[in-house]
Amino acid sequence: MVHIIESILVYAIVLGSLYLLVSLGFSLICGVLGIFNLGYGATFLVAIYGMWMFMATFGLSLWPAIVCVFVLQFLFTLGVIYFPIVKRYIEKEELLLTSLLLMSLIVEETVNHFYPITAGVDIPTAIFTGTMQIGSTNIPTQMLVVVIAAFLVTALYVLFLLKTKIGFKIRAISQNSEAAKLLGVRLERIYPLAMILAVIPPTICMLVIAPVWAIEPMMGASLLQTAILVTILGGLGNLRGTIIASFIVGLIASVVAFAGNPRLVGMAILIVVFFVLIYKPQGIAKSETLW
Amino acid sequence: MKRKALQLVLCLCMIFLITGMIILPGFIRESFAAEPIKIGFIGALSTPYGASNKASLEISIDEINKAGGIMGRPVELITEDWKREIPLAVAAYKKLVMKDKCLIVFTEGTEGSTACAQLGARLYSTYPHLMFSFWSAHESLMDLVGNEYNKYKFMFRVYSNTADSYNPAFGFNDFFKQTVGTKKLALLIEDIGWTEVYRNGRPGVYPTLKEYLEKDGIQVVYEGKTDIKEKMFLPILEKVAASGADTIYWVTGYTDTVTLVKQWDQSPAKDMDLILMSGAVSYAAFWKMTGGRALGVTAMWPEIPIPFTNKSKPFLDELKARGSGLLASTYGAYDGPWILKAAAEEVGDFDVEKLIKAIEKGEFRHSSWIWAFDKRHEPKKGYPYLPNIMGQFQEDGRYIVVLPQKLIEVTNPKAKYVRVKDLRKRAGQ
Repeated sequence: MVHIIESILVYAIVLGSLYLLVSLGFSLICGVLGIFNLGYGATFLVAIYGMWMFMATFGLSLWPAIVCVFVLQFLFTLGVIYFPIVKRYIEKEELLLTSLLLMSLIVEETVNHFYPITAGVDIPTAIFTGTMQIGSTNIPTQMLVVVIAAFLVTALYVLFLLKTKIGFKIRAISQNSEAAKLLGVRLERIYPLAMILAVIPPTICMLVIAPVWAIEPMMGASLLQTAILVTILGGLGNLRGTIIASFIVGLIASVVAFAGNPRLVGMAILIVVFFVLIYKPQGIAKSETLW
Repeated sequence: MKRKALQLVLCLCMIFLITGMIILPGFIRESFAAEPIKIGFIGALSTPYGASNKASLEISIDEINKAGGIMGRPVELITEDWKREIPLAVAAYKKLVMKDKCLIVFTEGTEGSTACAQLGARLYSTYPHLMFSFWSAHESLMDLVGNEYNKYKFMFRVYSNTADSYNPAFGFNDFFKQTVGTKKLALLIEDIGWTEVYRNGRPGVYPTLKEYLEKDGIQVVYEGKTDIKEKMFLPILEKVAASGADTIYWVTGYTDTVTLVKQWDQSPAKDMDLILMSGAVSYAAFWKMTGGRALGVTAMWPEIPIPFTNKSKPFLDELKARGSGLLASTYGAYDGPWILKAAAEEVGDFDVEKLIKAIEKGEFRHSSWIWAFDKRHEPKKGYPYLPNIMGQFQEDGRYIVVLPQKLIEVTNPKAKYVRVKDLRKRAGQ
């Protein structure tokens, strides 16, 4: 029994951290731009396949490849997602959602064409190999990196939003973009910045989970689904809610996996989110502002 | 004068008529002989399996045409993409049979093949044709011909199915007991249509897989079902490790085996032998996909070039040159048109009923094993007929055959199955 409780707690933190890294960027875009970024799945693909392209095709070593992949990610976000799609269609929701989804599918197809699953894509970003024991529970040591990365990135984002001038502006926009505009906040500068900030967590996420996760061209869709689920549960665009929701989802997953049937993890999460939406449609935190 | 002219015209007409009667049938025959035999293929072309099947069929048909076609008639391949969507498979099948008049249609996937079989049964009387299906694992498919022969006789399956695990000719349980040395087994089965028999059995016909293994003396100490969308296998592996099993047998097909193996290698279950059924694990590239974490992992239908006959190597070289992988259904896709050619040349006709009888009675061999079909139009099992091939990843990603013995002898005679613990020791891990 003690072993089960230990395992539940350890995995609640591990899984929660993973869900947090996956969802943070999606939630940020929801909060600042007020849009559902259905192209978010492509961000994961650009991160992981960008790394592979720089390393395997262009022969770069690990660190230069990491630098290049962040540059690529920023260029992709601004040059393909923000300026041609988001900026143009931000007021036309149907066009915006369709275009973002289409772009995501185009990226998926392109990746599948150049690097199909049989290409054997793998990124050597493992900091640790092997397992570590926490109490009586064993986890891959690399998962500790995931936990640390999630806490660090989240802490930095929260500090940035609470303590910097740009952070204030971002929060002001998330509260009321029209009012912020009247007070002199330049939306055309903050929006692209928010888009760039939103792609950093998924990129880090991909780099740290690659040693324990499959890399395949269709992976973006399932990660997008996770991000949507956590963000909805947390309250659209509310980072505090997203953090709490990530760990709630992590806790549900580990309780069902260890105390129940691992086969039912996915269903249990969906059921909980469904009931939260029925009885608290705004999610855990009311999404009036980003924080 | 008029009469003479009339006689002349009549004579000329008679000459034309007689000449026509002599030449025309030959001319018609010549024209007909030039008509190609059409072979249809419905594949999910963006998937490795669809691409491999297509390339194999193309190579096969190119070779048949170079060898003079089938009874002098060229062969033409018409390919349709079903994108793993049943309505698209049905529409493609209808087009291939009704519009393109294909003599034979190759289909893939359990769902797609089942839908096509139903449609084919309705079309058969008006459009007689043959259907060869691969990657159609659900055991209910194999009963169609057996239970309603006249309705489904046009359908042959060129790939093994779920129930094959119960077939002693495959020596599957002996593999666990003798080759692996399993004492206690953890059995995990992905929860999806094609594994229904394994999970629930079939009253009076098949036991559950757990019952079958235990009846044969393999102790199952952990049993679980897994979601095919699962990405986090660590909790399951933690439970498996606590069960005391020495071997994990995970019935996979659609499960993300890359994530599974990466996490297995970094879990407390990493010293247990891991036997997977299929999925990405069957690819040779799986070693790279897992960053070398697949050491010791065993899978069915491994992507290993096996020299079955002297035709195997040229085919596999050509397949590689075309950038396609060698997967479970590849041999069936390549040998399929050759089976048709052999059957047609044996009966000297393209009459579908005669072709069915010829395929039912004949034994065919080209690049792989001997193809012979039983009453249910299932391939006969156990090498030299359809084998159950198992491969294990060893040091440096070497993928070796570990079952059946006869194929080990022709492929990697010096290598043998090694337990994961020993492999790790050997690799200095």
